[in-house]
Amino acid sequence: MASGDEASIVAFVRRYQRRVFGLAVGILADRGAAEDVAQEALFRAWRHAPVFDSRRGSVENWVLTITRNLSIDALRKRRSIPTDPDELVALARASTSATMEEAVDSRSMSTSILRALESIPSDQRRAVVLSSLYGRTALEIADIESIPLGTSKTRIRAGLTKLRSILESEVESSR
Amino acid sequence: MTMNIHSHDEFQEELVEFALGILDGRARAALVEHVEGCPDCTERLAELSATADLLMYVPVGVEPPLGFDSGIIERIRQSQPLPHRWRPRVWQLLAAAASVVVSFGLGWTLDHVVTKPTTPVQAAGSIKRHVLEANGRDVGTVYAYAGSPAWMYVTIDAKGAPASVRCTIITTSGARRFIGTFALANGRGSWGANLPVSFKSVRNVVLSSSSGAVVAQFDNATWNVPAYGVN
Repeated sequence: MASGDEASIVAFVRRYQRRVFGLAVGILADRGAAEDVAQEALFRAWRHAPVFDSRRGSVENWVLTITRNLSIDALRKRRSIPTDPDELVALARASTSATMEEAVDSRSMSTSILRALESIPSDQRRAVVLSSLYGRTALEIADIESIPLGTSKTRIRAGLTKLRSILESEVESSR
Repeated sequence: MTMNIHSHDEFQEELVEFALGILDGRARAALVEHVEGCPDCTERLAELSATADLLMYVPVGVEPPLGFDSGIIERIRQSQPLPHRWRPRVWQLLAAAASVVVSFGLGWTLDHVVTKPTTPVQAAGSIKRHVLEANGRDVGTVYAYAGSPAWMYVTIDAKGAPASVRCTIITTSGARRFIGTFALANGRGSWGANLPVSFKSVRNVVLSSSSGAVVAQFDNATWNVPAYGVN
Protein backbone atom coordinates (compact mmCIF):
# COMPACT_ATOMS: atom_id res chain seq x y z
CA MET A 1 0.00 0.00 0.00
CA ALA A 2 1.32 3.43 -0.92
CA SER A 3 2.38 5.77 1.86
CA GLY A 4 -0.26 8.27 0.74
CA ASP A 5 -2.93 5.66 1.36
CA GLU A 6 -1.47 4.92 4.79
CA ALA A 7 -1.72 8.56 5.73
CA SER A 8 -5.27 8.70 4.35
CA ILE A 9 -6.36 5.73 6.47
CA VAL A 10 -4.93 7.25 9.63
CA ALA A 11 -6.52 10.65 8.90
CA PHE A 12 -9.88 9.07 8.13
CA VAL A 13 -10.02 6.86 11.25
CA ARG A 14 -8.75 9.50 13.66
CA ARG A 15 -11.11 12.11 12.26
CA TYR A 16 -14.30 10.07 12.70
CA GLN A 17 -13.62 7.53 15.45
CA ARG A 18 -14.79 9.72 18.32
CA ARG A 19 -18.13 10.62 16.78
CA VAL A 20 -18.73 7.10 15.45
CA PHE A 21 -17.92 5.52 18.81
CA GLY A 22 -20.05 8.13 20.60
CA LEU A 23 -23.07 7.38 18.43
CA ALA A 24 -22.67 3.63 18.94
CA VAL A 25 -22.28 4.04 22.72
CA GLY A 26 -25.27 6.39 22.79
CA ILE A 27 -27.49 3.85 21.05
CA LEU A 28 -26.17 0.64 22.60
CA ALA A 29 -25.14 1.87 26.09
CA ASP A 30 -22.47 -0.84 26.04
CA ARG A 31 -18.88 0.16 25.33
CA GLY A 32 -17.82 -3.34 24.29
CA ALA A 33 -20.63 -3.75 21.77
CA ALA A 34 -20.15 -0.15 20.64
CA GLU A 35 -16.48 -0.79 19.95
CA ASP A 36 -17.34 -3.70 17.68
CA VAL A 37 -19.98 -1.68 15.84
CA ALA A 38 -17.74 1.38 15.50
CA GLN A 39 -14.87 -0.71 14.12
CA GLU A 40 -17.17 -2.37 11.61
CA ALA A 41 -18.71 0.95 10.58
CA LEU A 42 -15.36 2.60 9.91
CA PHE A 43 -14.14 -0.47 8.07
CA ARG A 44 -17.23 -0.62 5.88
CA ALA A 45 -17.12 3.11 5.17
CA TRP A 46 -13.52 2.83 4.02
CA ARG A 47 -14.12 -0.28 1.97
CA HIS A 48 -17.20 1.22 0.34
CA ALA A 49 -15.54 4.54 -0.40
CA PRO A 50 -15.95 4.00 -4.17
CA VAL A 51 -19.74 4.18 -3.85
CA PHE A 52 -19.74 7.32 -1.75
CA ASP A 53 -21.32 10.25 -3.57
CA SER A 54 -20.78 13.70 -2.06
CA ARG A 55 -23.99 14.94 -3.64
CA ARG A 56 -25.89 12.85 -1.10
CA GLY A 57 -24.36 14.41 1.95
CA SER A 58 -21.16 14.74 3.91
CA VAL A 59 -18.70 11.96 4.59
CA GLU A 60 -19.47 12.28 8.29
CA ASN A 61 -23.18 11.87 7.68
CA TRP A 62 -22.48 8.78 5.59
CA VAL A 63 -20.22 7.21 8.21
CA LEU A 64 -22.73 7.98 10.96
CA THR A 65 -25.58 6.48 8.93
CA ILE A 66 -23.65 3.24 8.59
CA THR A 67 -22.94 3.34 12.35
CA ARG A 68 -26.57 3.94 13.22
CA ASN A 69 -27.78 1.11 10.97
CA LEU A 70 -25.27 -1.34 12.43
CA SER A 71 -26.12 -0.22 15.98
CA ILE A 72 -29.83 -0.71 15.39
CA ASP A 73 -29.12 -4.18 13.93
CA ALA A 74 -27.13 -5.03 17.07
CA LEU A 75 -29.86 -3.59 19.27
CA ARG A 76 -32.57 -5.65 17.60
CA LYS A 77 -30.84 -8.83 18.71
CA ARG A 78 -31.30 -7.70 22.30
CA ARG A 79 -34.95 -6.65 21.90
CA SER A 80 -34.73 -4.02 24.60
CA ILE A 81 -34.16 -0.27 24.74
CA PRO A 82 -30.94 0.17 26.76
CA THR A 83 -31.48 3.83 27.66
CA ASP A 84 -34.77 5.63 28.15
CA PRO A 85 -35.15 8.30 25.42
CA ASP A 86 -35.51 11.09 28.03
CA GLU A 87 -32.36 9.93 29.75
CA LEU A 88 -30.44 9.81 26.46
CA VAL A 89 -31.34 13.42 25.69
CA ALA A 90 -30.50 14.49 29.27
CA LEU A 91 -27.14 12.73 29.08
CA ALA A 92 -26.34 14.48 25.83
CA ARG A 93 -27.30 17.84 27.32
CA ALA A 94 -25.23 17.24 30.45
CA SER A 95 -22.13 16.20 28.60
CA THR A 96 -19.41 18.78 28.50
CA SER A 97 -16.72 16.54 27.16
CA ALA A 98 -16.70 17.77 23.57
CA THR A 99 -13.24 18.42 22.24
CA MET A 100 -12.23 21.57 20.41
CA GLU A 101 -12.28 19.65 17.15
CA GLU A 102 -15.85 18.59 17.73
CA ALA A 103 -16.82 22.06 18.82
CA VAL A 104 -15.81 23.33 15.41
CA ASP A 105 -17.56 20.91 13.10
CA SER A 106 -20.36 19.25 15.02
CA ARG A 107 -21.16 21.11 18.17
CA SER A 108 -23.45 23.53 16.40
CA MET A 109 -25.49 20.70 15.01
CA SER A 110 -25.50 18.82 18.32
CA THR A 111 -26.60 21.81 20.34
CA SER A 112 -29.14 22.92 17.75
CA ILE A 113 -30.80 19.54 17.48
CA LEU A 114 -30.76 19.14 21.28
CA ARG A 115 -32.33 22.55 21.75
CA ALA A 116 -34.95 21.74 19.14
CA LEU A 117 -35.66 18.35 20.74
CA GLU A 118 -36.13 19.98 24.12
CA SER A 119 -38.60 22.42 22.56
CA ILE A 120 -41.10 19.82 21.42
CA PRO A 121 -43.57 18.01 23.71
CA SER A 122 -42.04 15.17 25.72
CA ASP A 123 -44.22 12.45 24.20
CA GLN A 124 -43.23 13.54 20.68
CA ARG A 125 -39.57 13.76 21.66
CA ARG A 126 -39.64 10.21 23.01
CA ALA A 127 -41.31 8.94 19.83
CA VAL A 128 -38.77 10.67 17.59
CA VAL A 129 -35.78 9.36 19.56
CA LEU A 130 -37.19 5.84 19.72
CA SER A 131 -37.64 5.80 15.95
CA SER A 132 -34.52 7.63 14.80
CA LEU A 133 -31.90 6.24 17.18
CA TYR A 134 -33.41 2.94 18.24
CA GLY A 135 -35.05 2.06 14.91
CA ARG A 136 -38.43 1.35 16.51
CA THR A 137 -41.48 1.30 14.25
CA ALA A 138 -44.74 3.08 15.03
CA LEU A 139 -46.22 -0.25 16.13
CA GLU A 140 -43.30 -0.98 18.46
CA ILE A 141 -43.47 2.53 19.92
CA ALA A 142 -47.20 2.07 20.51
CA ASP A 143 -46.33 -1.07 22.48
CA ILE A 144 -43.45 0.55 24.41
CA GLU A 145 -45.46 3.64 25.31
CA SER A 146 -48.76 1.75 25.83
CA ILE A 147 -50.62 3.96 23.37
CA PRO A 148 -52.78 3.26 20.28
CA LEU A 149 -50.97 2.89 16.94
CA GLY A 150 -52.65 6.02 15.59
CA THR A 151 -51.35 8.06 18.52
CA SER A 152 -47.87 6.65 18.01
CA LYS A 153 -47.88 7.69 14.34
CA THR A 154 -49.20 11.14 15.21
CA ARG A 155 -46.44 11.69 17.80
CA ILE A 156 -43.71 10.60 15.38
CA ARG A 157 -45.01 12.74 12.54
CA ALA A 158 -45.71 15.81 14.65
CA GLY A 159 -42.36 15.48 16.41
CA LEU A 160 -40.17 15.38 13.31
CA THR A 161 -42.23 18.04 11.54
CA LYS A 162 -41.87 20.39 14.52
CA LEU A 163 -38.14 19.73 14.70
CA ARG A 164 -37.87 20.69 11.07
CA SER A 165 -39.77 23.95 11.64
CA ILE A 166 -37.71 24.88 14.70
CA LEU A 167 -34.41 24.26 12.91
CA GLU A 168 -35.60 26.20 9.87
CA SER A 169 -36.54 29.14 12.08
CA GLU A 170 -33.15 28.99 13.75
CA VAL A 171 -31.38 29.21 10.40
CA GLU A 172 -33.64 32.03 9.25
CA SER A 173 -33.05 34.03 12.42
CA SER A 174 -29.28 33.61 12.18
CA ARG A 175 -29.18 35.25 8.76
CA MET B 1 -58.01 -9.25 -4.01
CA THR B 2 -58.03 -5.77 -2.53
CA MET B 3 -56.20 -2.86 -4.03
CA ASN B 4 -54.44 -0.50 -1.65
CA ILE B 5 -54.30 2.76 -3.54
CA HIS B 6 -53.01 5.71 -1.54
CA SER B 7 -53.78 9.33 -2.28
CA HIS B 8 -51.06 11.95 -2.47
CA ASP B 9 -52.04 13.19 1.02
CA GLU B 10 -51.79 9.70 2.46
CA PHE B 11 -48.32 9.28 0.97
CA GLN B 12 -47.33 12.65 2.40
CA GLU B 13 -48.29 11.41 5.87
CA GLU B 14 -45.94 8.47 5.50
CA LEU B 15 -42.94 10.58 4.51
CA VAL B 16 -41.86 11.11 8.14
CA GLU B 17 -41.69 7.38 8.88
CA PHE B 18 -39.82 6.83 5.63
CA ALA B 19 -37.32 9.56 6.48
CA LEU B 20 -36.76 7.96 9.87
CA GLY B 21 -36.23 4.57 8.22
CA ILE B 22 -39.06 2.84 10.07
CA LEU B 23 -41.66 2.34 7.34
CA ASP B 24 -42.29 -1.34 6.63
CA GLY B 25 -41.14 -2.90 3.36
CA ARG B 26 -44.42 -2.96 1.46
CA ALA B 27 -45.41 0.59 2.39
CA ARG B 28 -41.89 1.76 1.61
CA ALA B 29 -41.94 0.28 -1.89
CA ALA B 30 -45.29 1.95 -2.68
CA LEU B 31 -44.10 5.26 -1.28
CA VAL B 32 -40.83 5.19 -3.24
CA GLU B 33 -42.76 4.60 -6.43
CA HIS B 34 -44.99 7.59 -5.69
CA VAL B 35 -42.13 9.86 -4.61
CA GLU B 36 -40.17 9.20 -7.78
CA GLY B 37 -42.99 10.74 -9.79
CA CYS B 38 -43.94 13.49 -7.34
CA PRO B 39 -41.69 16.56 -7.08
CA ASP B 40 -43.55 17.85 -3.99
CA CYS B 41 -42.98 14.63 -2.08
CA THR B 42 -39.38 14.39 -3.31
CA GLU B 43 -38.64 17.84 -1.90
CA ARG B 44 -40.49 17.21 1.35
CA LEU B 45 -38.78 13.87 1.83
CA ALA B 46 -35.37 15.45 1.30
CA GLU B 47 -36.17 18.04 3.97
CA LEU B 48 -37.42 15.49 6.46
CA SER B 49 -34.50 13.13 5.79
CA ALA B 50 -32.03 15.93 6.46
CA THR B 51 -33.77 16.63 9.78
CA ALA B 52 -33.85 12.94 10.68
CA ASP B 53 -30.12 12.69 9.93
CA LEU B 54 -29.43 15.49 12.41
CA LEU B 55 -30.69 13.25 15.21
CA MET B 56 -27.52 11.19 14.81
CA TYR B 57 -25.74 14.16 16.39
CA VAL B 58 -27.66 13.87 19.68
CA PRO B 59 -25.26 11.38 21.31
CA VAL B 60 -22.01 13.22 21.96
CA GLY B 61 -18.63 12.06 20.74
CA VAL B 62 -16.86 9.66 23.08
CA GLU B 63 -13.16 8.85 23.14
CA PRO B 64 -12.80 5.20 22.09
CA PRO B 65 -10.64 2.82 24.14
CA LEU B 66 -6.89 2.80 23.77
CA GLY B 67 -5.80 0.91 20.68
CA PHE B 68 -9.12 1.36 18.87
CA ASP B 69 -7.59 3.37 16.05
CA SER B 70 -4.59 1.10 15.57
CA GLY B 71 -6.91 -1.93 15.44
CA ILE B 72 -9.11 -0.55 12.69
CA ILE B 73 -6.16 0.94 10.78
CA GLU B 74 -4.47 -2.44 10.79
CA ARG B 75 -7.67 -4.15 9.65
CA ILE B 76 -8.00 -1.75 6.73
CA ARG B 77 -4.32 -2.20 5.84
CA GLN B 78 -4.71 -5.95 5.69
CA SER B 79 -7.92 -5.88 3.68
CA GLN B 80 -7.79 -6.68 0.01
CA PRO B 81 -7.65 -3.47 -2.04
CA LEU B 82 -10.42 -3.00 -4.56
CA PRO B 83 -9.43 -3.80 -8.13
CA HIS B 84 -10.79 -0.51 -9.43
CA ARG B 85 -8.06 1.81 -10.60
CA TRP B 86 -9.82 4.87 -9.19
CA ARG B 87 -9.93 3.50 -5.68
CA PRO B 88 -6.85 5.26 -4.26
CA ARG B 89 -8.20 8.60 -5.39
CA VAL B 90 -11.49 7.95 -3.59
CA TRP B 91 -9.60 6.99 -0.42
CA GLN B 92 -7.70 10.23 -0.52
CA LEU B 93 -10.92 12.17 -1.13
CA LEU B 94 -12.50 10.60 1.94
CA ALA B 95 -9.53 11.48 4.09
CA ALA B 96 -9.36 14.93 2.56
CA ALA B 97 -13.02 15.48 3.38
CA ALA B 98 -12.16 14.59 6.95
CA SER B 99 -9.96 17.61 7.25
CA VAL B 100 -11.95 19.95 5.03
CA VAL B 101 -15.08 19.63 7.18
CA VAL B 102 -13.20 21.09 10.12
CA SER B 103 -12.55 24.28 8.23
CA PHE B 104 -16.20 25.27 7.84
CA GLY B 105 -17.73 27.71 10.29
CA LEU B 106 -20.34 26.90 12.90
CA GLY B 107 -23.21 28.40 10.95
CA TRP B 108 -22.47 26.52 7.79
CA THR B 109 -23.17 23.03 9.01
CA LEU B 110 -26.70 23.52 10.29
CA ASP B 111 -27.60 25.93 7.53
CA HIS B 112 -26.35 23.47 4.95
CA VAL B 113 -28.32 20.58 6.38
CA VAL B 114 -31.53 22.49 6.84
CA THR B 115 -31.62 24.45 3.63
CA LYS B 116 -29.77 22.21 1.22
CA PRO B 117 -30.89 18.73 2.13
CA THR B 118 -29.60 15.65 0.43
CA THR B 119 -31.95 13.95 -1.96
CA PRO B 120 -32.65 10.42 -0.82
CA VAL B 121 -34.51 9.51 -3.96
CA GLN B 122 -32.52 10.11 -7.09
CA ALA B 123 -33.83 10.30 -10.63
CA ALA B 124 -36.31 7.58 -11.50
CA GLY B 125 -34.86 4.67 -13.38
CA SER B 126 -31.24 5.35 -12.41
CA ILE B 127 -28.67 2.57 -12.34
CA LYS B 128 -26.96 2.07 -9.00
CA ARG B 129 -23.79 0.23 -8.19
CA HIS B 130 -23.38 -1.94 -5.12
CA VAL B 131 -20.37 -3.84 -3.82
CA LEU B 132 -20.50 -7.63 -3.71
CA GLU B 133 -18.52 -8.98 -0.76
CA ALA B 134 -17.10 -12.29 0.38
CA ASN B 135 -15.52 -12.51 3.85
CA GLY B 136 -14.97 -8.77 3.93
CA ARG B 137 -13.38 -8.66 0.48
CA ASP B 138 -14.86 -6.94 -2.54
CA VAL B 139 -15.33 -9.59 -5.18
CA GLY B 140 -17.72 -7.98 -7.61
CA THR B 141 -20.46 -5.52 -8.39
CA VAL B 142 -24.23 -5.53 -8.52
CA TYR B 143 -25.64 -2.95 -10.92
CA ALA B 144 -29.32 -2.37 -10.22
CA TYR B 145 -31.86 -0.63 -12.41
CA ALA B 146 -34.59 1.03 -10.36
CA GLY B 147 -36.98 1.57 -13.26
CA SER B 148 -39.64 -0.73 -14.58
CA PRO B 149 -39.09 -3.56 -15.19
CA ALA B 150 -36.42 -3.69 -12.48
CA TRP B 151 -33.28 -5.66 -13.28
CA MET B 152 -29.79 -6.23 -12.01
CA TYR B 153 -26.49 -7.10 -13.61
CA VAL B 154 -23.93 -8.96 -11.50
CA THR B 155 -20.20 -9.36 -12.05
CA ILE B 156 -18.04 -11.50 -9.81
CA ASP B 157 -14.36 -12.38 -9.63
CA ALA B 158 -13.83 -14.64 -6.63
CA LYS B 159 -11.02 -17.15 -6.53
CA GLY B 160 -12.19 -20.53 -5.32
CA ALA B 161 -15.85 -19.92 -6.16
CA PRO B 162 -17.77 -22.97 -7.47
CA ALA B 163 -18.50 -23.53 -11.18
CA SER B 164 -22.03 -22.26 -10.70
CA VAL B 165 -23.80 -20.12 -8.14
CA ARG B 166 -27.43 -19.78 -7.11
CA CYS B 167 -28.58 -16.17 -6.93
CA THR B 168 -31.26 -15.28 -4.37
CA ILE B 169 -32.56 -11.92 -3.22
CA ILE B 170 -33.85 -11.23 0.29
CA THR B 171 -36.37 -8.42 0.47
CA THR B 172 -36.73 -5.87 3.24
CA SER B 173 -39.70 -7.87 4.53
CA GLY B 174 -37.47 -10.97 4.81
CA ALA B 175 -38.89 -12.88 1.84
CA ARG B 176 -36.40 -14.91 -0.25
CA ARG B 177 -36.80 -14.93 -4.04
CA PHE B 178 -34.73 -17.25 -6.20
CA ILE B 179 -33.38 -15.43 -9.28
CA GLY B 180 -31.47 -18.17 -11.10
CA THR B 181 -28.35 -20.33 -11.37
CA PHE B 182 -25.34 -18.85 -13.14
CA ALA B 183 -22.10 -20.35 -14.41
CA LEU B 184 -18.64 -19.11 -13.40
CA ALA B 185 -15.29 -19.80 -15.06
CA ASN B 186 -12.35 -19.82 -12.65
CA GLY B 187 -14.44 -17.85 -10.21
CA ARG B 188 -15.37 -15.24 -12.78
CA GLY B 189 -18.71 -14.52 -14.38
CA SER B 190 -21.39 -11.95 -15.12
CA TRP B 191 -25.06 -12.08 -15.88
CA GLY B 192 -28.22 -10.05 -15.91
CA ALA B 193 -31.69 -10.89 -14.65
CA ASN B 194 -35.07 -9.25 -14.28
CA LEU B 195 -36.24 -8.77 -10.69
CA PRO B 196 -39.68 -9.72 -9.37
CA VAL B 197 -39.66 -6.68 -7.05
CA SER B 198 -38.28 -3.16 -7.08
CA PHE B 199 -34.60 -3.13 -6.17
CA LYS B 200 -35.46 -0.66 -3.41
CA SER B 201 -37.17 -3.58 -1.68
CA VAL B 202 -34.01 -5.69 -1.83
CA ARG B 203 -32.00 -5.98 1.37
CA ASN B 204 -29.50 -8.62 0.25
CA VAL B 205 -28.35 -10.26 -2.94
CA VAL B 206 -26.88 -13.64 -2.03
CA LEU B 207 -24.81 -15.92 -4.26
CA SER B 208 -24.54 -19.43 -2.86
CA SER B 209 -23.18 -22.81 -3.87
CA SER B 210 -25.43 -25.79 -4.60
CA SER B 211 -24.96 -26.88 -0.98
CA GLY B 212 -26.21 -23.53 0.26
CA ALA B 213 -22.85 -22.07 1.37
CA VAL B 214 -22.71 -18.32 0.79
CA VAL B 215 -20.16 -17.46 -1.92
CA ALA B 216 -20.70 -13.69 -1.94
CA GLN B 217 -23.37 -11.19 -1.08
CA PHE B 218 -24.45 -7.59 -1.27
CA ASP B 219 -25.64 -6.22 2.06
CA ASN B 220 -27.75 -3.10 1.96
CA ALA B 221 -26.47 -1.81 5.32
CA THR B 222 -24.55 0.96 3.62
CA TRP B 223 -25.67 3.71 1.32
CA ASN B 224 -26.16 2.98 -2.32
CA VAL B 225 -25.60 5.58 -4.93
CA PRO B 226 -26.20 5.96 -8.66
CA ALA B 227 -23.48 4.48 -10.85
CA TYR B 228 -23.06 7.83 -12.52
CA GLY B 229 -21.98 9.24 -9.17
CA VAL B 230 -18.58 7.57 -9.35
CA ASN B 231 -16.07 8.45 -12.02
